[in-house]
Amino acid sequence: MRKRNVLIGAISLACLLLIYLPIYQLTHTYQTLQQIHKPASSVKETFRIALISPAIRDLYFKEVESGVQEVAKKQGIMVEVHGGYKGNALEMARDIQKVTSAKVDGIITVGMDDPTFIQAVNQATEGGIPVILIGTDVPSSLRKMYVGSDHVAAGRILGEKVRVDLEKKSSPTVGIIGQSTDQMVAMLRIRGVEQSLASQKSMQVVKQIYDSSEKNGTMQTMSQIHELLNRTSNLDAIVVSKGEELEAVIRVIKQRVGLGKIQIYTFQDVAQLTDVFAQGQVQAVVVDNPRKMGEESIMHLLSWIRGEQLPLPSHIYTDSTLETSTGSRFRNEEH
Amino acid sequence: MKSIKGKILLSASCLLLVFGLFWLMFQYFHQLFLQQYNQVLERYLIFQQVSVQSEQLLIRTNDLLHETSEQSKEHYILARNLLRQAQSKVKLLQNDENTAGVSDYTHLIDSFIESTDLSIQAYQQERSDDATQFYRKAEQERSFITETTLSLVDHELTIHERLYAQMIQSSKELQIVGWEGFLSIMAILIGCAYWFSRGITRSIALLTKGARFISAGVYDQPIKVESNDETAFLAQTFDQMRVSVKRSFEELEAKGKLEQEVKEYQYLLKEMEWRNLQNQMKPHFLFNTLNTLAKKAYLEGSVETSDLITTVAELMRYQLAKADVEVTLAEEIEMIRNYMTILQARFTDRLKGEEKIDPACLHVPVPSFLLQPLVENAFIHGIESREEGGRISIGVRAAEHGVQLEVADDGVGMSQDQVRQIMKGMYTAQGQTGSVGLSNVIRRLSLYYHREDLLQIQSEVGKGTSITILIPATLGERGKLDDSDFDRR
Repeated sequence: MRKRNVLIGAISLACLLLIYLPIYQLTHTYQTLQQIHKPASSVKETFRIALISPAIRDLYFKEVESGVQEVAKKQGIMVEVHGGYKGNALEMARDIQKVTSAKVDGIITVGMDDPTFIQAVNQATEGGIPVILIGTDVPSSLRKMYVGSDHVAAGRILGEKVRVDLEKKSSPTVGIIGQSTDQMVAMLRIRGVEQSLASQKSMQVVKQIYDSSEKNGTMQTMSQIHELLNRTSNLDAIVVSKGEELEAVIRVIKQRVGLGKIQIYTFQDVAQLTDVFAQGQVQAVVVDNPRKMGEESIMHLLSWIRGEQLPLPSHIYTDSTLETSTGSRFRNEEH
Repeated sequence: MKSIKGKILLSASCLLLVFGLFWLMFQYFHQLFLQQYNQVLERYLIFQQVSVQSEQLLIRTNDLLHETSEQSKEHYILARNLLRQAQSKVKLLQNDENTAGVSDYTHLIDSFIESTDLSIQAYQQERSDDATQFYRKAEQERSFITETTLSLVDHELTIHERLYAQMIQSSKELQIVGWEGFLSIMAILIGCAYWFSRGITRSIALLTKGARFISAGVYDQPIKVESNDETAFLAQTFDQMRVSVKRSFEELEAKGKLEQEVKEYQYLLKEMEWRNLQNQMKPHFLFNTLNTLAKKAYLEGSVETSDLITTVAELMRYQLAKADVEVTLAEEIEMIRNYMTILQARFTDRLKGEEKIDPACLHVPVPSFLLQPLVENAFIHGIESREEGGRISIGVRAAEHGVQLEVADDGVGMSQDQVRQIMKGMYTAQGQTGSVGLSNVIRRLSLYYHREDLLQIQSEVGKGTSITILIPATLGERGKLDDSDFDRR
């Protein structure tokens, strides 16, 4: 009889387990499902800020975004990121139009010197949406504000470094390479470099300015450097006005005269040159501070939206840092 | 006590319950999952609806701009309302992961409707340039809506991708669990069925075994079934039947044995009667003849011969009258005296008779012709063959439990083997009548007194034979042989 009771108990236990296991399994899945379909916990109306970039995966833009997001998170602001991976002005303009139609409260975008882009910015501003440009200023547009490096000042810092480095030479020659189409960044930087170098009369400056209309940028840059080297026989230093051109420059110099013969100076929009320094290919770099740009831009934008700061200053310059291969750093002041 | 029906019902309902629970559970979760799938599908449909309705609104706006009629205006308003409805539905789809997208979306719809409204307003105010411009704007916004729809659906798919993966995983696991459950339940079911049927069949097998024993005539094998259903009752009843059949058989057997005994006795009695009847004819004739002879001898002056003949006649009369009745010992002794007288008359000098009789014992009743065959035997086997003759002595004396009769001779005697064979009733010597007489006496004694030890023979070759009979004194020791004896049983 006892044996029978044990048997009955075991069978009931097995049955219970059989029923319980799938119930547990299914309940678990069901709960996960519900979690996903749960409506937004707070449907509170917050400011919606659109952050637009032609290359949202770039390290530069990521820095900007993290600066923006940090502030946004603190203040409970919703930030939507728009843009492509290798976008052009047309796409940027379309994105701006889209967020304008979506009636965001403000737009932060990387500036572009392009008429379509400018038109889109103007439309947004006309629609009552403030637009802040970062990195590249387009003063001709109806943008509310520019937040980014003072490229002329950055050029001056690098120019000064070049001048100091070449002071002891009798007749130093400095080559400068830049794109004429990049009026708002490269040209400004070159202007700053020239300003610094002008103080030394013996310094000879050779400029190679070209139009980057062609698609294959690297090949074009390489041919331009060849041309610069052809023009001057004894180049002591070269100033590369855009970080993107650096690779081509190094390759050509390696081929033609060998590294170390010509000192290379350049600008970078984000600090990522440690490997270049390690090989001793680059003498000095002026680096922008994109994170700061992000923070500053959203703070000013919010203060404008809230009406705390009317009108906004036309521009806010973020700091640029000079980094040299020897490890010394020099940071210019914010304006 | 549970009935078999109850057992079957109970186990069947238990199994049904388990299966039912299993089924219900699966059904319930199936419904839940279906709901979730529906919800997911609904979301896609709502987004799709917005896209479709916005296109519809654009078409209606275009129609209205080209042909102003009440109907197209109605169409426009209808499309506009539908888009608004879709928009309000979209707002409900907002969750933590698509907040930005959905709020953009609703605002885009707002802008779009605004633009179409403005376009129509401008047209009505006959500012066709503005109308076209707003229409272009609406077109652009409509493309934005389509784009955003795609990106939202894409986003949904991304979110749901991992959900689907999980659901697929779950459904696979569930299937396995389902199969496992099904198989285990089947196993349990088969086990239960086996256990249960064994419970019934075992008792039935025991019953069958019992029935086989009874049909073979073996009644002392008890039938015992330990069960709590009807079979136990059946077995119990069956066992009772076995016990009563056994008892009846035993009774019947005893009765049969008794009847056989009675029949045997009656047969012996009949035989005696028949012999008597057979003998009656001769003796009566002889008796009368003897009486005539006695009278003639007496008349002729031969008194001695007359007496002898009278004695013989007496003896014959006794034989005729007392063939199958109880007589007193005195009567029996008297008859023996007569017999002896005749024998002595035949063998004058060779036979000597002796009597040692205790007169106090003579009233004892004995079966008739008890002693005569013994005396006859003693004479025929013991003395007749001896030339010098012999002596036959009759003794009657009181013994411990009755009366002892003795018939002794000093004749040839018998060996021990012969004595044993006579006692067993097997011995047949030369004179057949004699031995029949002796075995008849033994048989009658055992039937009369229900004792086998009353007659004893002592004999030695050359010295003679002595036969003693103990007549029990107490009445209780001998049953009365009449019909009432049989009724007692």
